[in-house]
Amino acid sequence: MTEKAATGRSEAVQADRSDPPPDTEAAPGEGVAHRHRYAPTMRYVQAEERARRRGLRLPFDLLAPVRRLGRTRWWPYVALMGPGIVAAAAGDDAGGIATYASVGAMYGYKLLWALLLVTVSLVLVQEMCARMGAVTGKGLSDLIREQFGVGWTLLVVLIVLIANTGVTTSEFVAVAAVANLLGVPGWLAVPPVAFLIWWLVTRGSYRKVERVFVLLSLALFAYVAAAFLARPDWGEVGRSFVTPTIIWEASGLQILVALIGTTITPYMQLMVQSSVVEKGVTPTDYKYTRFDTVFGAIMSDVIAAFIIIATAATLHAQGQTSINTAADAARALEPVAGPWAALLFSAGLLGASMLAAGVLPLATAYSVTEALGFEKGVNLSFEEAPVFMGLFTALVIIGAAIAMIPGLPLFAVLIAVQVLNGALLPVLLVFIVRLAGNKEIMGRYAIGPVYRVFAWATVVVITVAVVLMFVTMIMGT
Amino acid sequence: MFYLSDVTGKKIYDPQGNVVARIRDFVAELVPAAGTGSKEADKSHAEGEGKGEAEARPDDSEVLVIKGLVADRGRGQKPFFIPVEQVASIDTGGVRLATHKLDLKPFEQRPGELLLARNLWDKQVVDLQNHKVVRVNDVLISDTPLEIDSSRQARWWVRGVDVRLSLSGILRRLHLARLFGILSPTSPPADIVPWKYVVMFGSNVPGGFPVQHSKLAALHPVEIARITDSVSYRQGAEIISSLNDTLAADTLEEIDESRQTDIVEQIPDERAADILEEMSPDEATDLLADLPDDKANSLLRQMDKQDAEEIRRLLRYPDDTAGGMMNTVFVKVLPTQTVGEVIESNKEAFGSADLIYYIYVVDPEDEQRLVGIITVRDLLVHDRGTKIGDIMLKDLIVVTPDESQKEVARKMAEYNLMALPVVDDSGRLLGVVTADDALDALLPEGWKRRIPRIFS
Repeated sequence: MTEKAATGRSEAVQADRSDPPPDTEAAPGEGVAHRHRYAPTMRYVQAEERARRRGLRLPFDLLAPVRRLGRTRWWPYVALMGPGIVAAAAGDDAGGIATYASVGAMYGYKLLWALLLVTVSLVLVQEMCARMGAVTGKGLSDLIREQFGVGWTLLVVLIVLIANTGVTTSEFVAVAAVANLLGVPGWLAVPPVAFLIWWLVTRGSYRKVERVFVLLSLALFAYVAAAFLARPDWGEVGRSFVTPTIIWEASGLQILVALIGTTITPYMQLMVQSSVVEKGVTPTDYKYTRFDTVFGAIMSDVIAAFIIIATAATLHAQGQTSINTAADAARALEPVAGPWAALLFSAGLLGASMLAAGVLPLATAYSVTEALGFEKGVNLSFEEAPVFMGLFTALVIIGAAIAMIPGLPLFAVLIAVQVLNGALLPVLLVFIVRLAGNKEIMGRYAIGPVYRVFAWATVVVITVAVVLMFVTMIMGT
Repeated sequence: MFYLSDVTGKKIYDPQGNVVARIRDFVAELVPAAGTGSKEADKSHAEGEGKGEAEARPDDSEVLVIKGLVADRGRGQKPFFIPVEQVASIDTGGVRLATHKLDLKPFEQRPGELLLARNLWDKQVVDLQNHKVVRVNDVLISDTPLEIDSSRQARWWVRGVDVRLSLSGILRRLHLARLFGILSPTSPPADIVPWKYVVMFGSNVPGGFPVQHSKLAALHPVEIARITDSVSYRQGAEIISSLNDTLAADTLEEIDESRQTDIVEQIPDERAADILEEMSPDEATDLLADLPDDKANSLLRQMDKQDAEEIRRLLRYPDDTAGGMMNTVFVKVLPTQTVGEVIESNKEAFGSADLIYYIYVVDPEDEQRLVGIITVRDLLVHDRGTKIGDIMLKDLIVVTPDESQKEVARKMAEYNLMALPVVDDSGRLLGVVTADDALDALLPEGWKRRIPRIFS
């Protein structure tokens, strides 16, 4: 560096002599080729090059005009709706699609009322988590550890681990199902996909390819079109939303618990709170986050409702009352895509499962290490954060390995995982409601008495559904 | 020596051996110790830390002494306090009292009192040895008497905290240690963080607790910023407000922009204004621009007039332009001055400006107008009598305030410069953009972000 600077200097001195600067009054820095004499060599050029290669980027910011209007009161809410709808579509993972499709195929519109109630619960639960994140700035597992101690934290960690291992598995199972639909055996397709995800995440480049999966998952909007094109009896659909019908048999209660478990997934509650913390939301700007959370929850269930309606109006109406393969589920899209239904369904399912498969093991590893106090972070190596990286890797490997078992009834596994989620959910909810109502941590943002009644009602109703399911299962055998 | 979890829940016996109650918690308070310290304290130095810096740390002066314990009388009855003077012995078998006379008045935590189980277990603390935020899994209590001063002795005191979650630690916390034959340690385990390296958060103690944040001041602002990054914004604000204004400002500058605002919003306006005054104007401007308007205005009103004026001027430029990035503190000289005069008359400016490599030469008639540039190298290689006007560089690379961050960075890269003067249309010098600010525009997102985003 010194050498360069030195030579730079002598050159510059020569240049000065042969070509004295013309008019010092001229506007500085105009056009003339300048060479500064004392140039420290900094490698900005390479840095800029790298930045240019950073990847796809829109030439202009689509949301910028909307954001500029953000100073008025109501615009921020509208600005949030777009991303909210996309997130809602992307938020339905493989298990969700399988469950909603099965609900529609098995019982037609009969369980739509349950979806409506589950939506109310989902809104309550997610709002509590988002609120806790904004008020305390801490994650859910952090709060549980601080308020309930090591013992309860271990229980929650165990629940999260079981539930999330299940959900991770279900994402790879969905990959296998998509492969089967396209004529590729699952054991051949799953390992490369699992490795790709592991590699992308550990390299920190998952975020860059994420939007590809988001785009793929948008194929699920086809269900909305399919629901309309299938010409359902809208009167009956409407009545189903307000007529509670309980199907008193093991399979009916199982699918009900699966419906609860996949809509109010345990991991989503951890994710909602952590993402609010990560975004740095505070009580001051919480109102936007609340809108985003509530709107997102409702939108994701609107899509769920359309999946149920579409499958009910096609499969159930045609007498196919069970879904055993991805091909069955894809048939519901025939009204909109005809012969391309299988391909459309594959794109949506693959996108949704890849989205979850990338985030879920990582988020699980993060929550667990956070609760127990190990080193965490994707930018750390195996030596620096053995528990974090080990856990992440193990989840991917276990999930992929189970999905590769030959002859696995893929759709049955997808549903079973959601049943497991639903069964584990009440335990986590108890902690959430107790924390959200704790004045010591929440101060004046603690949930009020009416809110608390509804929150506890949610816990009780879900617990009763789970208990009923187990009772009918035991009596059935 | 025993862990807190070894004794909580154990029985409390009166001198006759009858069970009176059970141990719920320990009450401790900070006691300033005499400067010299006892043999026991010296020994803990040697064990806790092999490096010489252990002695150099100033915070040996406080010992967390057990003042008494909170006893549980079982269902329906309020816990009560037993002062340490009434205790004959504490071990893993339980507590033996020296008296029958107990005051059963319900226990209330007073300010300055720390409940070891309630306020420390599972809470986050800063480990000063490793510059990290850790979680307390257990508290190690020493039963070797420690001389506090000539008249007083601490019989039980907190030696340190266990922050590594081990299987034996978990079993101990779940009161299953005895089942598995895990005994109390006879010497402090290697991974115990000695109490003098622990900084806890006052927010963990509802009644308030004098937290020795001064210990944090020994760290580099970047290290404090990393610690602040790994806790909640509330705890971050607690850390920042505990530092002196200068250190708080330096630390705040190292914190991610989005978090800066969350933290500043938690700090009372008056204090926040003091800290902002200490920040460099461009950083302070960026921060204020991200705050809600009313908060920003209130802070500006409470700031020193001159600093506030500076920031108001900078706020007019969008933050991704040269005007928004520029620093207004730099060294300014006249062409008629000599090298010697420049060195002598600018001592203060050289001490305070962010970047002093470039020295800007302005028109003697209009001191706003930039006419040339010299560098520190010029000052070093030229005779003290040389006129600045003779050695200054007159053809200048400048940027206008509305040039984009990208453009500024590109110019710097192209001409290999560490800083660029920002000049308006009439040639008036407004400020200086330094390379570190422009670099942010070129770095890929992943390089800048210190905390990886996982959930959002």
